[in-house]
Amino acid sequence: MGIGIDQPATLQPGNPDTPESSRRSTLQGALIATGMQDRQAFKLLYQLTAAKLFGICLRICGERQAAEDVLQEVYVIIWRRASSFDAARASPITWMATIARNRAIDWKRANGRFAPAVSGDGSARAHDAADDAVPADQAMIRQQEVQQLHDCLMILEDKPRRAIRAAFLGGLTYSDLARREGVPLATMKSTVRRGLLQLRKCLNNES
Amino acid sequence: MNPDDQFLAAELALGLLEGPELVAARARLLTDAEFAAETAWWQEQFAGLADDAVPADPPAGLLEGIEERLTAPVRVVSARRPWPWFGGGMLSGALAAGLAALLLMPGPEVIERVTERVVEVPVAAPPPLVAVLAPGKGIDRAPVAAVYDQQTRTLRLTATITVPADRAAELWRIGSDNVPRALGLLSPGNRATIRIEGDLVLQPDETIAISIEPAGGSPTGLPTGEVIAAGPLVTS
Repeated sequence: MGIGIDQPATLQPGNPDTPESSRRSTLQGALIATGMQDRQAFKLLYQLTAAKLFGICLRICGERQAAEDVLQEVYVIIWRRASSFDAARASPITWMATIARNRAIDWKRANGRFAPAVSGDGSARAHDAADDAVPADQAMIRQQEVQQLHDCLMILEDKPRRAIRAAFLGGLTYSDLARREGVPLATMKSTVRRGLLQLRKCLNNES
Repeated sequence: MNPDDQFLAAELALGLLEGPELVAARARLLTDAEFAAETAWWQEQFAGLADDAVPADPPAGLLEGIEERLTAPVRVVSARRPWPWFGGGMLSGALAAGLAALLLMPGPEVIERVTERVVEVPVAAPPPLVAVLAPGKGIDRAPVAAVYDQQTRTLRLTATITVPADRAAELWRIGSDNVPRALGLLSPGNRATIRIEGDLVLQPDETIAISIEPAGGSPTGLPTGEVIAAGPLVTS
């Protein structure tokens, strides 16, 4: 794959003719080249993924300044760890999104009392609702395994599905969720566990 | 694997756990390969959910800031850039102050009292992170405190871990990726302090654990002996 400073023209993002598969392989090439300490490839990687990863940081941190700082950390981590990326195990964007989510959650847990998204106000719910409306074109280009997860989530009842999504995407713990929904901790646990049981069966094609 | 453990793995992967439950589940990753595999399976499944976050454009100039940090050594980065949300006189549980007391009379009541004390401290550099490593169920040892200096990247235990002559105590860290990583060995010549090498930077809320290993350390990259104590890192 010709990733490098000698061929920057083929690597520009936003080419309207580029189908999704080729976009993915561009991303993969950029990530692999980043692992070889190629700064040009790293810049391209940033251009292709920053909006996505910033969206994740913003969603979890709940405040802009923190999300910006976390995003910087995330790309420093990506730069250092890119050489350990294994294309056989994960898609490039999933690999990077996982780093962003984990780092944002680390921040949130260390600074939870400052993060408005933890509190029980309506804004977090509104955000969930917005996230639930995934654009159709995005749904179409999803990889198969990601699509399976979303299909399986759709068969869950509303409450467990919302809780699972809020835990993963918002970094909310059981007690955060219970507080937000105004239910006892034990109730929230059994709601989520009911969903997890159903989800596990579905993901394993058992039902 | 029984259903309760499957739930626990999913809960760990989703980030639902906190406090002692989180520490216990992460410590279990160190010794229970089946549980670790179940957790990894759930993490892979859930990873696709990140797709759903609404993209947002970061401010212009952020990339330049990142590139600047790529050229600086890790240690300098953390020293030069105290995080803004620590500023303005952060509230701080005075855990460090209480650690001495913990060493003199270890017991759960001391830990309780320590976490309740809150003082204002001026912040110039990243504050040290501290952890109280409590023994697991049925293990007859006193809790040990650990202090992590974010500037020098050293982790210091405030008591010596006693181990048989042909064994060594090994330190581990488990972060929100739920993948245990070895931090180093507390050998007879190096009883209390470990310098964290490589790209590993310890963060608040990570779990620190100690296991008893063969003299040269675990041969597998995961603990092979008993995990004697574990606890979360917190901002001091």
